[in-house]
Amino acid sequence: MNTPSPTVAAELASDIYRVQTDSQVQLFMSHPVFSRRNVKVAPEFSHLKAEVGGRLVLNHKDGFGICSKGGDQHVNEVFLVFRGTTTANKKADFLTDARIGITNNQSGLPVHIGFNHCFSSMVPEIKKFFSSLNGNVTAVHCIGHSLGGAVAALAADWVARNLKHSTHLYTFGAPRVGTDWFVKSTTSTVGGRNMHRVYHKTDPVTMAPLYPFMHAPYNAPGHYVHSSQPLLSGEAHRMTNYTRSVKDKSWEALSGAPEPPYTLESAIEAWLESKTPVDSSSPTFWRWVDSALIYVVKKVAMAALVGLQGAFISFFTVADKIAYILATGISMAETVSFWVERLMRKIMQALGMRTPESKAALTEGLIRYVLRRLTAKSNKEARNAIEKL
Amino acid sequence: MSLFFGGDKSEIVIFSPLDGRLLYKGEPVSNADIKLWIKWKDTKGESFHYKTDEKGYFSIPKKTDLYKDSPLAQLVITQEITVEYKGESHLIWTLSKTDGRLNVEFGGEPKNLICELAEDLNTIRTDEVLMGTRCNWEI
Repeated sequence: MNTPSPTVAAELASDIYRVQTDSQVQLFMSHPVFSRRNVKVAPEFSHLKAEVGGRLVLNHKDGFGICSKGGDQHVNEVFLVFRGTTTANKKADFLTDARIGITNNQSGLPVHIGFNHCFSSMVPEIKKFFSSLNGNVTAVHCIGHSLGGAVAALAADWVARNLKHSTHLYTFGAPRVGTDWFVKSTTSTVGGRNMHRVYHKTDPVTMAPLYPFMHAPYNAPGHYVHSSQPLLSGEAHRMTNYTRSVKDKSWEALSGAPEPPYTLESAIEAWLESKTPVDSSSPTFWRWVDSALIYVVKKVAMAALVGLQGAFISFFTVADKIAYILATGISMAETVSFWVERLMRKIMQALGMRTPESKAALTEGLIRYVLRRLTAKSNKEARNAIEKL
Repeated sequence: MSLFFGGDKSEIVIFSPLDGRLLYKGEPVSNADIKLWIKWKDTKGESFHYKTDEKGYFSIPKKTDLYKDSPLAQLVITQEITVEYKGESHLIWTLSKTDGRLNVEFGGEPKNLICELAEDLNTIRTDEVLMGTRCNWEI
């Protein structure tokens, strides 16, 4: 198998946005990864559209992709390339929608309801395409930016799980797609080494939605790319800036800049215990608070013997569920309640709220209020970052 | 609820001015109908109609619009130009650009632009543009 370089993956993730008419499908297919010697016509490909009203009309999630066999450099390999929302279609506020929900995907794993709806609408066409290849496939490459990256992640999971092909995922500035159950499962099914998640540290989209949504591969930092903006910035989300960031670099070179140890338990505890002021406009704060939320919620769940699998699928909002879990933790032994209290104090400090004098003041109602304000703040920071462009 | 889409609107060029000459096998295409279609803010788009003169010259003016920037919705401006000639429709220009600056389609201000109906579509790929065209120009 010939692994596409970061440059090639970025070119395809970028080019797919420019496929707006039938004639432009042909232009997309003129990319070198699809070219064949002595064959002027592009290889077999299928033009995918998400369902919209009728079978081929665009819906508000605006999912869109192309699947194609590779050219001479990628014989018997398949490319699935997806794009995110464009100005030509309705602007789905897919990240900050207050109604973000979780649903089970076709494999019974908890994922973002909007991303899943978008991908599911394309599954019939993808199935049809793979059927036409009669199993003559050695590798599948799933590629996308932003919403397209989220859909590519679901596509990679579906292909690896259902078709059993060797599958490779390449995303740029993708949001979180599913909960830890999905993330662990897809990391195992697709293979962590086959997952290339490229992100700028200050890209606000990659930090949303907040926990319980997580990034795959599980427990791996992905391909962190330096961005020139010190604070959260919409500029850092643009595909053109990702293209520039990875140009002429290898995947190995993109793995050379590890993040601070946001997932290390001792580091999380040190952050929670520190007296350092927190700044909600800093990307560092959002990474720490996300890791700390995961750490503390799991601590409570383990102590209470509560299974988190599927716990977030209900009529309640995610903030309500987490509030319930944390409130349970407040009434537990000091080894658990201490960390719940520290987490809440840290969040309230970042929100500019007066911190409670005792643990007893941290009622479920107050925790729910704080978490809702945290979510609103997260959305506001993302909006501010983008409005500053 | 839409929290990602704020900010002020600014002017973008949805079509950079195109002045040139239309030929078929080297001969001027006179009085031909030219249709420009631009799509960027909805799925329907908008059409504009022009004609070549006796010597095949044509002029399509600049088109601008107002745009509220948002990285969550990629700016994509699509343009297609078709020419009706001897009862047939010829696509001479199909392009999508992700940048609203003037002349980004050409890589600079174009000069001596000539479109030849008998040529195949030539593919041009840059960071901002993916296009197929039967036109050639100098910068």
